[in-house]
Amino acid sequence: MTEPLLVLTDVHKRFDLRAGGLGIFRGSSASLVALDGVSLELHEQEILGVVGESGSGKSTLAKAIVRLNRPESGTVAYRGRDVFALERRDAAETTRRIQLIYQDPYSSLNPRMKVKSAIGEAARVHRYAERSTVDAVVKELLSKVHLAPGVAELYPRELSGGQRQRVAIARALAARPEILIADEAVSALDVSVQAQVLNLLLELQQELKLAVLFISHQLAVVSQVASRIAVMYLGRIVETGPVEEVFHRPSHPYTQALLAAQPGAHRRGEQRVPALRGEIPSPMDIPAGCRFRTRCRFAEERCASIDPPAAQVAPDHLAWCHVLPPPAAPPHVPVEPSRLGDAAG
Amino acid sequence: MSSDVVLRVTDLTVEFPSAPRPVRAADGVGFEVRASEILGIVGESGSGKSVTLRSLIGLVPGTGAVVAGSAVLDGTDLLALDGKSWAQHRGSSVSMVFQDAMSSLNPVMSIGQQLCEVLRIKGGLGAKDAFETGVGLLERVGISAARQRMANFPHELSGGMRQRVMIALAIAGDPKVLLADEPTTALDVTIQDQILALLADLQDSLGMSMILVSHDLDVIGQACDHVCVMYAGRVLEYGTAEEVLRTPRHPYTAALLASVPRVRTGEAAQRRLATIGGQPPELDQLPPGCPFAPRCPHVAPQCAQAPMTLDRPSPAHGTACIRWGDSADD
Repeated sequence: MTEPLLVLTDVHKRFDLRAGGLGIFRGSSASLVALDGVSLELHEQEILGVVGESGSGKSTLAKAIVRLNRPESGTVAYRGRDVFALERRDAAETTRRIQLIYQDPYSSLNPRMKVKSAIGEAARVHRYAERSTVDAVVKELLSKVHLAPGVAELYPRELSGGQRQRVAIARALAARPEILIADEAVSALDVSVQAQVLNLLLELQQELKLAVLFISHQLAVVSQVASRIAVMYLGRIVETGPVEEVFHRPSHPYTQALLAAQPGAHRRGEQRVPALRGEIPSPMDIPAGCRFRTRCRFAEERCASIDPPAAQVAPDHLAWCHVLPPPAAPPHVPVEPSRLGDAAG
Repeated sequence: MSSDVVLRVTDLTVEFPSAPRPVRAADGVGFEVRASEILGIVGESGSGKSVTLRSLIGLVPGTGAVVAGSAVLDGTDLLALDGKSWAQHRGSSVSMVFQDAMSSLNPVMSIGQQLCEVLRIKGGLGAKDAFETGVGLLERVGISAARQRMANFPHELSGGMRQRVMIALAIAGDPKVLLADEPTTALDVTIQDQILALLADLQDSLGMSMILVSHDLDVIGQACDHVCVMYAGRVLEYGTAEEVLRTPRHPYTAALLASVPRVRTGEAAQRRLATIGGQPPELDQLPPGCPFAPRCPHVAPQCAQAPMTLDRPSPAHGTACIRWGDSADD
């Protein structure tokens, strides 16, 4: 296998709550552990899905990769070089090669800039366009994301949510990146629009040979686009592997619970208990031993004291669990509705 | 009217003033909610699902107004109530659970104060009884250490816990119909799972009826007995959740179902999703006839003929697609 594009090694990121804000934590020793030893690799032209609930550290991970958060320890290496130890010029180049797309295009686009300025600015900053060519470059980028050239003259408020997210993608592409980090990039969209933007991302990934780190709390969305997946819980990856393998044979109790909690996994009137009791513990107070044990119905004595090492379930499929309970009955997959097309066509 | 219908909504129409003419956010919406059933209303942004729900509790937002229709609950037309009568009916005839508990709960009142307020006004309880009943309600919605929690303020609770508190508030007045507007949309999936289980359990044990509004077809399919599919302010399809979601009779429902991402458990499936072309229509620029026609793969000339009504080939399953009938014959 070729050298991975991006390698994260044992990345730790803690936020000291005394330092900022209202000072309500002053005098306490409060700190929030967002990333607690995360290691992962992103290979060329692959889509790696990162899934987890609020507070699992997904967004902190994205920000560490694009150098918006400096980890306390561990390394983020792009093409073998630590992104936090680069000379200024190399750092700028790395910034260009790794582009981040946010969830909310309402707040990530400047409301007072027309689309052509928002995209054009990115192209000019990275010197892929100059004054005379910028309009043509913008037009080309718009066509890449399937927007009409006329959109260039509009303001973000004049666009629909889906159009806005396309503009955000075009703006990221203006830097000619090698890696896209999509942080909940389709989460705010209606399902029919979400499907359009997901297809667009898949298409661009193929065409531009991009590597994508696709972060989402929606398991089904991740499974639709990613080839590999990492499941995060409280600042750690708890299971990782090829998507089909992980969902076919989920081995960490948390992954199993996530699958069982999918809406549509049950039928109305079915007597059942929720897949998972309780809520994610505070990242200010992570349980000792296995961090999932407080909600785990398989927890044993050793789980309270020993942090579980990686267990190999299959080649490339790892789960950090002492117990590795066998997967329950395969998750109920809703029957594909018969297409109306056959009936009304 | 069959005897077990608790709430019958007919021709509900809500308009917002706009130039040159008002915009219809809900247009001739009709459905029935039976005793002890959960009716789902599913649709995308702008479909009119929330406006429909809010008009049933007298909370049409902003400048909007109900201009036609009725919603009869126990012989009372909810749409005809004035502000004073609403004070009596809200919370006891119908009550509502909102999406965002943080902005729906009072941030400067403790959970206990908010619960006791409802119980004193709606239940006529004294301070002490109200407190004890409040503790019981919190326990009922699955909040541990309920007695201590009564002193907490909303910001001290997690999102899932706040949603449980709002559900406790909503059932405190013993409503006949509970309205839930995207009650789990802001929650993580494992917490959503817990709240859906709680709602189903409460509905069952209290014998309430419920209307659940969601954009999520899977949530609707799991939680509901019947479902209305809304688009551009109209009901395009109505029937049992089982039938509508398995054998949709409107092209919009079928297209929407096809665009839902699914967890892949087997071999690598087709990764591209089916999509619906175009954008949902602006409500002030609706085409004549079927509002879905411009995006519909099965569109025919007669689709532009107004008006579009929900046809009920069987009471169980109606569609507003005029072309569906054609194909049923052959």
